[in-house]
Amino acid sequence: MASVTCDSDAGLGERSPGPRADLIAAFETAARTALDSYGVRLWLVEVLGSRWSYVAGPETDAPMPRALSRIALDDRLGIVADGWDQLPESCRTEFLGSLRRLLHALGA
Amino acid sequence: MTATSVELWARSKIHEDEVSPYLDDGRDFIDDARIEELLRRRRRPDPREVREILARSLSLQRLEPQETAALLNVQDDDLWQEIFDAARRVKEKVYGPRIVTFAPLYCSNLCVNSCLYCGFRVENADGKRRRLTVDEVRRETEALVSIGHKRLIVVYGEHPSSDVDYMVDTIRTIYDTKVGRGEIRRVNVNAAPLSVADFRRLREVGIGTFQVFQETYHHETYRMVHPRGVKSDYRWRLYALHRAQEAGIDDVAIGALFGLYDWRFEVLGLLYHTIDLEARFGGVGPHTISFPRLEPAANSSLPSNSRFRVADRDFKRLVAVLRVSVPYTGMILTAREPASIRREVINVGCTQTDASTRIGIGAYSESYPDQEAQRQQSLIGDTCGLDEIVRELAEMGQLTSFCTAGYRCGRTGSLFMNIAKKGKIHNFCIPNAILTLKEYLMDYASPGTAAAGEKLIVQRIPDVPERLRPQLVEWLERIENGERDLRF
Repeated sequence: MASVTCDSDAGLGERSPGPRADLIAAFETAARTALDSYGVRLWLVEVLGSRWSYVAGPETDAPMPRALSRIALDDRLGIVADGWDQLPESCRTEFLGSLRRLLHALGA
Repeated sequence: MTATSVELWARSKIHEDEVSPYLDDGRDFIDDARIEELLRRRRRPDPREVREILARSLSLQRLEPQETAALLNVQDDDLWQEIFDAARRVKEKVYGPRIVTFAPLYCSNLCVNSCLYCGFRVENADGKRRRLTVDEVRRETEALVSIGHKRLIVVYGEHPSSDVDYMVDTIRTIYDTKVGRGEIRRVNVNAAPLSVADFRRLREVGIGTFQVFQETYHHETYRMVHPRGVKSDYRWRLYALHRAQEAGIDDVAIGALFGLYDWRFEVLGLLYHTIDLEARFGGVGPHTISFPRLEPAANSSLPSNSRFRVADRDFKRLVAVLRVSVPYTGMILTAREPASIRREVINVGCTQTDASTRIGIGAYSESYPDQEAQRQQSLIGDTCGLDEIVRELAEMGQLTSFCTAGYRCGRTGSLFMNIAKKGKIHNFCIPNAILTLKEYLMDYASPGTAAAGEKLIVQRIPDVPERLRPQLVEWLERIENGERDLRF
């Protein structure tokens, strides 16, 4: 079977594949901490108008239906969080700050 | 636009280099001889084997072609009843007692193709050709929002005047249109196959699902009914949704036009399409499958002369077999079918239907008869209003859902697939159906529909997991107090 790459995160791809992988890796590390320490599930999404399109985050562990929080990281990327309020405020600030700093660095 | 420039445009549409990477030794994934052989070999399957196959489906496993071929060859009516029952149970298990409702919005009927079954084909000189302006699209949208719709599928003919730039402009217009508290929250697209570059452009406007029907998977029949035009290229169409995926559109939808060739063959074609998408894109198969039947079209003799027209009895069978073959997928029953068939078939696993459907260009906002053949792709069987359908579904125990929550909070592509394949999507679908139905009842319903809907909501709240109910009840109260768009 032919190998065809799925460019499912084209918006991220514009930042080139290497930085994209870095961002996802950083996100997944932080998301794992949020889940293990606080039971909070986080997904990285690409914001395309109304559509918040899945990029990374737990696939096998279905979220429980709750009021999900949507947090924009910039005009192109966002976070969907299941249980965002359970994270201590300092964690939320640090988590968003680190991702935004990384995004800024990748976009520079 | 001159005929020559249209011809040049059509010739430039197909990019062989975006098809060839998917071929396997020069072959596509539809092996006609293999499908015919499967259908021959699985004649008169053992009832015990049929029940084992149904059990696999009920455990939410996607079936293999030889299993589906066995089901398609069942002869015994009692055994068919078991398949219908299994189809209903699979749908309830995955999605719960809800039917998502939408409306089609035809933006243009100019077309370069020559499909022998279609009123839009270029040779139909009597057709009333038109492309809606952006203002006309806004008016059509306002008309649909005003009766309560929250999701649309926009439809475009294949023509340079309705290329990707036009699609982007019209979709943006639809999303921007508000009527009071009403708005369209999800726009799906049914259009001709695009290049990867054009799919990327379309992706940027935040569409829901991109839908392309292969019409027929049988190569020779495809060639005969599409004698000219861009659409005569079978493989450009067959791999359209692969290109969409490549471009990052990860919710794609397949379908066949039943009646062009043997319905059993087409069911297996749809299954092979599903399998190839799953194999190449991380398990992400079709978000929905559609199964329209051939209907009369202006100046076309093929629909009434086809020897493969699907009888009502077989139509119900093919829907049930598709349902059990691909348990996770959405299944769309369209208004091509008359209301009596919809009532019968919706119970064997359908998850979506259109309502208040008008498929003439400009038909929602302009005053002309329900149907007018020369403006339409084909005639439809059901022109019931949305309110009537909501009430009818309520009386059948089905929640009409206007939910568009999933794609606005990351439940797309592989994440959606994983939730659906585990049979957990109903945990979202049922409460979101209740919330959006409540909005509809408050804002748009007639008194009779409101009463039927409210009664059903009370009946269905116990279906929602206990720990969610307090939040659901609180949100229902907030909707009564005027808030909108609350969702899980």
